[in-house]
Formats: sequence, C-alpha cells, structure tokens
Amino acid sequence: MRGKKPIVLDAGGRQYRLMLVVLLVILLCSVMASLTVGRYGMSVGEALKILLSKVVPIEHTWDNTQESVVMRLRLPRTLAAALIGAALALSGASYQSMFKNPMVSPDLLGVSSGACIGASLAITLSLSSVTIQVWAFLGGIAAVTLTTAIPKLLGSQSTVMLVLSGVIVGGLMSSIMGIIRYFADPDTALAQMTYWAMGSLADVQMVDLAAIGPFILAAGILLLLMRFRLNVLSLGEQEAKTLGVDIKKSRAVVIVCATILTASSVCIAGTIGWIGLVVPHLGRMMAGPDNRKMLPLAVLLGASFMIWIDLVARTITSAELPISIITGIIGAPFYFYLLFRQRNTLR
Amino acid sequence: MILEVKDLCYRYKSGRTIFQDVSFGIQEGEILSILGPNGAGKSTLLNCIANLLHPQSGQILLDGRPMDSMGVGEIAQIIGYVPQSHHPAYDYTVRDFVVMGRAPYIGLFSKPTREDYELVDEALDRLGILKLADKPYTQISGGERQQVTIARVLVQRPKLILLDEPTSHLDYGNQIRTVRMIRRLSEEGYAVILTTHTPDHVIMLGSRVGMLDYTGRMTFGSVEEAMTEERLSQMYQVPLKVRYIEEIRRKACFAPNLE
Repeated sequence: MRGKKPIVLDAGGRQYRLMLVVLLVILLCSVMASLTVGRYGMSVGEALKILLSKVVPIEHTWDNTQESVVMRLRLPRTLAAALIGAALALSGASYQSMFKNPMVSPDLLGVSSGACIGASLAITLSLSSVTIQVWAFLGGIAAVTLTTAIPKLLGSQSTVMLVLSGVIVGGLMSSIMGIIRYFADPDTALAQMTYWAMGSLADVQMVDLAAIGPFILAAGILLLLMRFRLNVLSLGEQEAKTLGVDIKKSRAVVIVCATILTASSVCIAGTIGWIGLVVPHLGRMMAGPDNRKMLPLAVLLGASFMIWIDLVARTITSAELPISIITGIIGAPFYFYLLFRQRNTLR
Repeated sequence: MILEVKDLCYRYKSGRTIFQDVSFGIQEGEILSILGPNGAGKSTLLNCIANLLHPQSGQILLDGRPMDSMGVGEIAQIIGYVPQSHHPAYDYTVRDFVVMGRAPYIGLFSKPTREDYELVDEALDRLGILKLADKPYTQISGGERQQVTIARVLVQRPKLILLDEPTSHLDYGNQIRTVRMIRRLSEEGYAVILTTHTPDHVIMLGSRVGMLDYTGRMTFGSVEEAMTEERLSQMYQVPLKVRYIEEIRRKACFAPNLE
C-alpha cells in the first residue's frame, strides 16, 4: 500500500469509543438515580456511602431504614433491571441477525411467552427454582422452533412471513397460558403467574440474581464473542454457507444463547415486551449495523433503558405499574416508526 | 484439476429431472460458461457445485477430494460464490461487507484483523472502487454492488469462482465491464464458472461452453464447435444467426428481423 493513504481500520472509531464512554456514564448515573429516587428519598452521597460501607469501613451517618431500602430493595431491583435490559437487548439483536430480519424480537418470535408457559407449568407442578428456569428455557426453545418452522413449511423466507408466524405462535401461547391459569391454584400459583404476565421487578431478591445471573453472563459473553459471526449470518443462510460458515452449529449456538437470555429474564421479572426490538434499533441508529460495534452499545443502552422504565413504573403512581405497560407505550409507536422507515424495503 | 464433476444428476422431489450425466473438469485459469434457456437448471447446477444443493447421484471432486467429505470451511477456501442478486437486510459499509469474505479463515469467536482489512482495501483498490469503502452497501448502484461482491470473493482467496448470471441486472456498459473482469480473473489464474443468458458474452470470453437443454443433457465444447446456429436456435427455440463481423473481430449472435 505504498504511497496511498493509510488504511483507516475503524472509520469513526474515536467517535464510537466516545459513545461507549458516554453510555457507561449514563448507566452509572441511572444506577444512582434508581438507588436514590423513590418514596423514601435520599441523597446520592448517602446512597454512595451505604454502598461503600460494604467494602470499606465508613462512619455510620445514616439510619438502618435507609440502609435496608438501598441494600434490600433498590440495589437488587436496579441490578436486575440492568441485567434484564442488557439480556433482552442482546437477545433481540442476535435473533435479528440470525434471522436476517430487523423486525423480530424475543417477544414477537414468541420466545418470551413460550418461556412464560414453561415457567408457569413448572410453578403449577411446584418444582424447584432451578427446574423452573430449565422449563422456561425449554418453553422458549419450543416457541422459537415452532415460529421458524412455519415459514419453512410454507416455503417462504420473507420478513413479513416470519413476523406473522410469530403472531400465530404468540396467539397459541396466550391461549395455552389461559388454560394453565384457569387450572392454577388461585391462592398461590395464580398470583405469581399474573405478576409474571405483565413483568415486574418488585419482588426481586439478591438470591434470584445470584442463581440466574451467571447464566445471563455466560450466554451474553458467548454472543458478544460471536459478533463477527453474527454479521456473516445476517447475510442469510445460503450466503453464510458459501462463506464457510457451519450454519447448523452457529445457528444452534446463537439460538440457545439468545433463548437462555430471554428465558432467564422471564424467570427474574416475567415477560417484558419491546425492549428486545427497540434497543437494538437504537444501537443501529447510533453505530450502524455492524454487530461488532452495535452489540456492546445495545447492552449498555438496554441496561440504562430498563433501569429508567422500572424507575418510572414504581414512582409514577402510588401503586406500582407493571413494566410491560410502560414498555408498550414506548415500544408500539416505535415499531410504527420502524415500519414507516422500512415501508419500501419490506418484502 | 481444481474441480471435477462426474455423472452429476439432479431431480426434483416431484421426479422431474433437471439435469443428468453431467461430467466436466476445470483447471486453473480456465473459464466455463453455462448457457441454457430459462428453467433449464443452470443455477441448480451452479448451486450443486457451490454445495448449496445436493445432487441425487454423481460426484464432485475438489483438488481430487470428494466435496461431500469436506467441511464447509474447507470448501469455502477453494470455491468462491457470487450470487445473482442481493437483498441485504442491513446496510453494512462496503468495507465491512467485503471483509466477510475472510470468514472461512476466521474462527467462531474471532474477528477480522488488520491484515484482513489490508486485503480488503487492496481488493477494492484493484477493482478501482476504494472510494466506495465507507459507503453503505445498500446505497450504491447495481453495477457497483456487483464489483463489491467480486471484491469479497477475491479476499476469500478461492481457486474457483462461481458467478450466477453476473450480467443479468446490469446496464450494457456494466455488462461489458463485467465480462472484461471475468477475463482478467482467469488471466490471474482463477478458474471461473459462470451462467449467462447472453451468447455474445460467451463468444467474447472465448471460453469453453456448456449448453444445457430442456431434456437435462449438457453439451460441452469450444465456442467454435458448440455455438453453432443450429444448436443455439434449437436450444432457445427461436431462429438465430451467428456471423463473423470484421469490424469487431469476432462472431456475434443475432435474432433476425421480426417480420
């Protein structure tokens, strides 16, 4: 390359690193906001001191109620929100690449409701919490398998067909969910299921996070490592194959990891719609479609986004709102906007 | 022999035979053009060679090894495929799109390195499209897109390049430029197999030609032997004339006046 201008390895690389830093700062601010805002208000300084006192000895200048609000209520909630937001965003982005289809997400593919059914069945059978998670995963895998089987059966690989197939499976899932709810014990299981159907972080405990968090981290790291492979997969199956990609293996790894992310989120907080669709698109608007740049942004965006949604859900009225109500109010118009932008290219 | 095809036969599940007893071989620097009417199975044959479809019988050897015993990664290091048309779902930049040609050399959890990007810029530069490098792949013209896909196949470093109707979506100028580029690829040592609907392009390439007819039989030969008036007229089911034109120093294929 003598005499030519040097190769710019990552055009806009500085701008991208700046975005990462800004999003990281936003995430930290969101965490602090979530720890301090609420019915029991306190200053950022106090919250920070309470957190720090767990690592280094600090003089007690706060009362025990404050400490218990931060450590027992708000911290697990905030961490769960960040974890779930990141997981759903990553899961959605991976499905979108895998299926060469920017209009799908864990909820539109039926994965969330499938996982919800799996978990609910496990609850009705009073199984242990680990088993609930396994069942949620199996439900999610069953749903995504069914959703992708329909377009194959009909011999059509269009974007719209996959979305419609998701509608079919979603409808089926909500009926099955209705049956389970009908037969559920109204005193115990039913309440838990209803709480799950709309998504909530109100009852999250540290032990839940410790049990489910490692799965989210493992699946998330695998997907992040596969960012370039996801790019190749997003060209479509045939093309990826001529570029030497073992489709069956890659597809299996991506779908299993993305489904673990969704199913784990369902186990912590129930079904939360729209995040997996909206956040990857925000990421793409900021960094373009290259998954190598987009996925890390989506993870940070998803975490902050979810923290703020949870914050709104628990502070906007005196009673808590289910999370899906708020994500729906934001997500539905956004989906319309996506359809509007892609109205000429959708086939 | 880079590629050897022996007694290849492909049938639809419905029982219709697309082609049968197709045998040929191709060496370094050779071009094979495949002609045939719509629906005769040109693309099916190409897709079998690209390992995208599986023939019912017959054998395909790459560098003397049976293709069905090789992994997709190994195959992609020998065969590069330029598909007919693209419906990209995401607007990758040209550079990010072309670097995906390095995928056969990049592991499941790895990313392209600086060297991979150097190869990309070298290929773009050679095709004279380095200025497109940072443009979104969805916002360039059909002719440019064709060149970008060929750049991707070049960084893949295959021995054999398959092109499925490379001229079909292009204006006349870009068609001729593409034919010229195919010639250049063969001069650089690549073996090339292409399908086309334009007999003149085959004449210009002066390549070997395989003519696939409706019965699924394939006739091979040089342009001189195989592309006679009778054969072409029979294959396309319209009267055609082949004449040598002094001014352009080649034969050309014509359809007569409609009267």
